[in-house]
Amino acid sequence: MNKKILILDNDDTTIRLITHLGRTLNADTLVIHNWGKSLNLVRDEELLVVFLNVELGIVNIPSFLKHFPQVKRDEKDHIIPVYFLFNKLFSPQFQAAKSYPHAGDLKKPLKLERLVEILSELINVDHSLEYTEQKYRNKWEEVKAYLDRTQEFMRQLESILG
Amino acid sequence: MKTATQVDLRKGSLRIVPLLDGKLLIAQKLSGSVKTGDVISGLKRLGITEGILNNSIELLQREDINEVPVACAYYQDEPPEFNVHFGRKFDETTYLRIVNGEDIPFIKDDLWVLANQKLVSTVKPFRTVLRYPDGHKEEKKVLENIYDLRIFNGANVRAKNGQVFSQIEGTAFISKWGKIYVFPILTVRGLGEIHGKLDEQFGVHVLEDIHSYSNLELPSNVFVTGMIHSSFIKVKGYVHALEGIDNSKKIENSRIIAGKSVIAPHIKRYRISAGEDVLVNEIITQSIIISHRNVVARIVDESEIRVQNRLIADEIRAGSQVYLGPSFLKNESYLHRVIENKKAENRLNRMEYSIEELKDKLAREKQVLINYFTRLKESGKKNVLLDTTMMRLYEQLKETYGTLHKNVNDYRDLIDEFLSTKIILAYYARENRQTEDPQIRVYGKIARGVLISTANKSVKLTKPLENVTIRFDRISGEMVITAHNNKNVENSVR
Repeated sequence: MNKKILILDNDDTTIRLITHLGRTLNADTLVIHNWGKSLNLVRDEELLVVFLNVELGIVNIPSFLKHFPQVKRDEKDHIIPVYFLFNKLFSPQFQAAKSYPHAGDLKKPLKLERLVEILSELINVDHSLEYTEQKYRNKWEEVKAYLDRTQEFMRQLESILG
Repeated sequence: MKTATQVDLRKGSLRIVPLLDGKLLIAQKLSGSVKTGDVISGLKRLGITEGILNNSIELLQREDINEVPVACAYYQDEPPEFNVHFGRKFDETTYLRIVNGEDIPFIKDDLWVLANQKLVSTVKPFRTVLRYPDGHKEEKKVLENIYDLRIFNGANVRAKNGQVFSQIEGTAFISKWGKIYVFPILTVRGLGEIHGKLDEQFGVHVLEDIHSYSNLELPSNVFVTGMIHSSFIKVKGYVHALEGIDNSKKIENSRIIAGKSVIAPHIKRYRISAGEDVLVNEIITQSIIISHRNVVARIVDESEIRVQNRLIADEIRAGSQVYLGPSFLKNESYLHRVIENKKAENRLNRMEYSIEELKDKLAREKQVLINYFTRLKESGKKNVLLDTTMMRLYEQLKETYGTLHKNVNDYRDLIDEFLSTKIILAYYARENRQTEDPQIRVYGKIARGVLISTANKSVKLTKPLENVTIRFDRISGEMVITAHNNKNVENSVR
């Protein structure tokens, strides 16, 4: 399964830009407008990065960062980087959010070069480029493995039932 | 593509920026408004032909979006490269000889092969390549035991140890898809209307003429020692008429459609479509010639030439029209295969869903059966075979498993078909990739009034030119005329 980019924003331009770039690099996107209700949709192990528009006020930053801690407690900890998106540098929401630990700030409209830089640090680009033929070969291997397992089960069942 | 480049479109301009070592290209709007089609043609002019992201480019039309990814590198299975041990290569020297009016030797003997003769050997095997948007590729790894060279078996050949051998004696050719065919050859004195439609599995050598109203549809080559008169000929291989091709009866249906080259000393009043070259060492007159590679002729007179790569001639006379570049040529069979392959991919996706559904169904039925079996065992029933419910559940499971098995087999067949078509398309794309700008090279005179059209320009010459090259510069979209007798003169027609 592809890794996901989590976007908490309602700005269509930003969402589309990140979605298209993600698709190019074989990463899915998950867009959430209401964090409270959608918490159960997010599974940490699938997430690659989080882009949060801090000016929308849809999350409480301290509690959100509890969910995605930005400081490693030990070496095994896996950090999902959270980037803050903002429109106005001096907006009170951004000024308040800035003091919390986070991976970086991105001013809107987002610069594609910066997004590519962020994603290329998190994704092995060489492995994520499209390879249609290999995709279908892998799918076939999965289906074949399942069929082999089922075949074995049917054989055992047949021997029990005579 | 290594550095950022500006590209001017009809109503605006863009900057194309390479990122990730050229693997990803992004477009930044600099000025004006842009249309998807303009962006794609602009990219093509820059030589960016691979991995174009159409969906993403559409976003650039929006006012609020100023930059998007436009092309991305991708991996691809690359077909093998062959060393061909039969036939003849038409190179620059041959072209020059033709332009000088020298006879073209009969190609029949070059294409004649014996049984068990080695036809091709593999120079490079099947491999994975990383294809960059600008077309250059990086070889990654050799694909072992995944593909079979038999994909390229056309007819009457066998593949063994990376080589392809002929099974029979006959005439051979390699199709545009890389498939190798050998067919027996039928030698006849002449052909005419009386013979009806000839559509058997062989090549033909006609010792005299192909007379008017003949109708040939062959999967092989046609060699004519005499002339071809007003006939319909459709072949997958070569057509070589030693004395010329002439629609003297002016029959509208007179056409030659060849998968490979068409060779003759002269072509008169004919419609010719060739998958490769059209080679004429005397004159093409009052004809329509469509060539997916090069047209080489001593004289072109009052004819319409549509050529993908190059038109090389000694003289182009008044009344001629030249359409230069791939945009004037339809490649229906290629497009048809691309569409079919896309449909096959959609079918594969649908089949995946139905396999997933069957897997769920099977899992449910398996669970019900196991639960019931456990209950039976717990209740102390010794012979479960006598329990009708148990047997019903078992039969149901067996039936679902049978359906799954069939679906998986169909899925496997479809994947094989999909991948082999993809590799054949990759062969075609490789062989037909345009590496240089389309051009007209005239050693003698090109007359006043000759019409020359490229993808975005059309000019009618107002004065005769001599010893010139007219090149369609794909990057700037300009038609560049270079005079060879005075090398400092470089003139653009705007």
